[in-house]
Amino acid sequence: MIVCGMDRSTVAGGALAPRTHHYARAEGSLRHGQRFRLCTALAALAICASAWAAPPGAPTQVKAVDNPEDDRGTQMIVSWEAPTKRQRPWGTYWAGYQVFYAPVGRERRPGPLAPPESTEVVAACFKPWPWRPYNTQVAVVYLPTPALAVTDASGAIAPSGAHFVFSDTIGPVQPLALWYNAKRTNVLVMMLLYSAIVLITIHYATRRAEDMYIRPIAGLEAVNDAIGRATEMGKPILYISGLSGISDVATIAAMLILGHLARRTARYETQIIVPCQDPLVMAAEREIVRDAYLEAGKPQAFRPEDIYYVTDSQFGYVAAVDGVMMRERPAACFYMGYFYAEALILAETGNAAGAIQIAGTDADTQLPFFITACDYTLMGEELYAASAYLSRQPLLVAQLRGQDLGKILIAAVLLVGTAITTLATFWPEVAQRFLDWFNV
Amino acid sequence: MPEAEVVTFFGLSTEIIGVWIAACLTLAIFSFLYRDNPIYKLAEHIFVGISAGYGVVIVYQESVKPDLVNPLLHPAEVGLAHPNYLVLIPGALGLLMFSRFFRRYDWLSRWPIAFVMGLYSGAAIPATIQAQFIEQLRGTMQPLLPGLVDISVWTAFSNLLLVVGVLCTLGYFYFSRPHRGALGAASRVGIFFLMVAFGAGFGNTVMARISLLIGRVQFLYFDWWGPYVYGPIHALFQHVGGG
Repeated sequence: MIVCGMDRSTVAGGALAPRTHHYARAEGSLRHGQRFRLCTALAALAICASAWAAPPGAPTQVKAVDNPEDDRGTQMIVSWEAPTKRQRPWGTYWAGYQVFYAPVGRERRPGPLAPPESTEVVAACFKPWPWRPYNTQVAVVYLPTPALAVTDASGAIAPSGAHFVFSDTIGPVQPLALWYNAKRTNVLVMMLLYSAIVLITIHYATRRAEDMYIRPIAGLEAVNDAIGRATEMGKPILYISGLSGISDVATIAAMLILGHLARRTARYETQIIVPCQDPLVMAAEREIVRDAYLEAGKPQAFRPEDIYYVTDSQFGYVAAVDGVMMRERPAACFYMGYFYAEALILAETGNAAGAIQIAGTDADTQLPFFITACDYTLMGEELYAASAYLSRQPLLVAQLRGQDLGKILIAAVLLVGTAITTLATFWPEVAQRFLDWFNV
Repeated sequence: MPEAEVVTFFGLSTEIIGVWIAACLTLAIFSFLYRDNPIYKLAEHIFVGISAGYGVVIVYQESVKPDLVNPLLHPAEVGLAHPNYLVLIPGALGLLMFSRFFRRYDWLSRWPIAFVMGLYSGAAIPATIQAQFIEQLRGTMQPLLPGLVDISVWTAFSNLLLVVGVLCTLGYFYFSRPHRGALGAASRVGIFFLMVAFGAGFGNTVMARISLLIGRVQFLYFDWWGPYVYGPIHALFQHVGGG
């Protein structure tokens, strides 16, 4: 300690004096020396006591700023400087820091923990919108026994007896969302490029789209056969549009196919049953089928009760649909959209019910089950192409052509990228820059 | 530690009742493997009814209450100093869904559907471009020649398979040209790659499904049959037999 060092040097300095004095003086100076040592010791004790009694150290230079890396406006960077060691309260151990923060006017809440050697932490704010200003404090956490600070589920320090020393309150600081995330420029470029290809193709190809070739897709060729079978047998068609929400691309594709199918069933007055797992999908599909029946000039044949909501529980829905299959004995089952673990259960039950089955999904984990249990399966992109294939609408066919050109672009970029990666030895900087562009 | 209080119903522990209900419903659902029957229908209706009711409660507790009711009526509970009246906009959009109950105004329900579709499509497009285009492209751009880059022959072969597989599979999904000649050959190779991937996926998923079945059979055997059926009967026979 600094105090001990002062004491020793003072004693050493005093030891030089007695050599030049006589005995009596030496005896007197000895008593004087004892008094001097006593005073020095008392002074040292006073300094130690004052050190112990000094207020425990809090972090200094605390700063809170918006995290520029976080474009959503949900993070602040809180930084500080550590207190000096001698400011530690007597009998405690320095366990780390805890950040406390809260929107202005609200009670502070415990935030992230940081180890003793850290001087900065990223604090996640509670909600991205509206972006509210936050007040921030950093506390040094002292524990009675040497241990790292840990928190419980509420964010409070778990070991009892923790001693907090808070910094001054900093703020208010407002984390802000960014309008443009420069890190994702590559996403924007690819999106614009791909969209441009599709839009330009639609513009130029729509006029001659009716003559445009689309390769045969066996699953879609069989759709008319399935409708014909159901009509001849006088049995219904069961249509399931997956277990995903209305915003999923596969569900949208499934709804387009349903529209085409409903126009055919309306023409032949064949019953179509559509049990739904999502209420929004149900509402949209009821509209689609109703429009199809109106378009076919058979509005009286439309039965809204055949398009109904079951439940949004995955296996509750499956149990109900299985029951429908075994009771209604549909002549044809269509499974179009996104599916999860229920794919095989549905397809096996449909098979047991003796229905012709056509499936289409972009869920690559469920495709093997549909391939094994169904008569025909549309794989991935074939599902998206189905609406163009079935309707032959110029706009949709031209769009399909545009998507094909997009695939050529992807193949070209892949070949160029593979060549650059392979020849990276010759132009390492160019190769690295090219590959970095694809990092997100 | 104080012992947890045992909740009883007509003298039976609710835990025991729960195990019996779960076991009976499991067997009722399994009875569908034989054929459709009234027991299965009962289990099916219980399952559908409870899950639909549970779904309503979950939607209210996790969506309507924290995102609509609390910001308006109890702002302090969601960290607000004043009510946030902006939530009335999505609230009104949600209420428009109820217009389906009135034939004259049911067209209003198209607005929230259009809003949801537009919003999520907009959000999904950049995410799809990132996850399915850019990151997939980056992952497929691999060096092919072991002499030029520090990779083994097998790694180079594996990379070659990857690139060829991706290009041929893309060929299979090319719709606007007849699959003849080079494109036809590429698409045939592509379908071969697809089937290999599906075969691997099939085996992997079947294993997971078998483990689910094992879990259910273990529940029936260890949690229900052993302690509540076989155990008491065995004890009764021992008692009657004087053993």
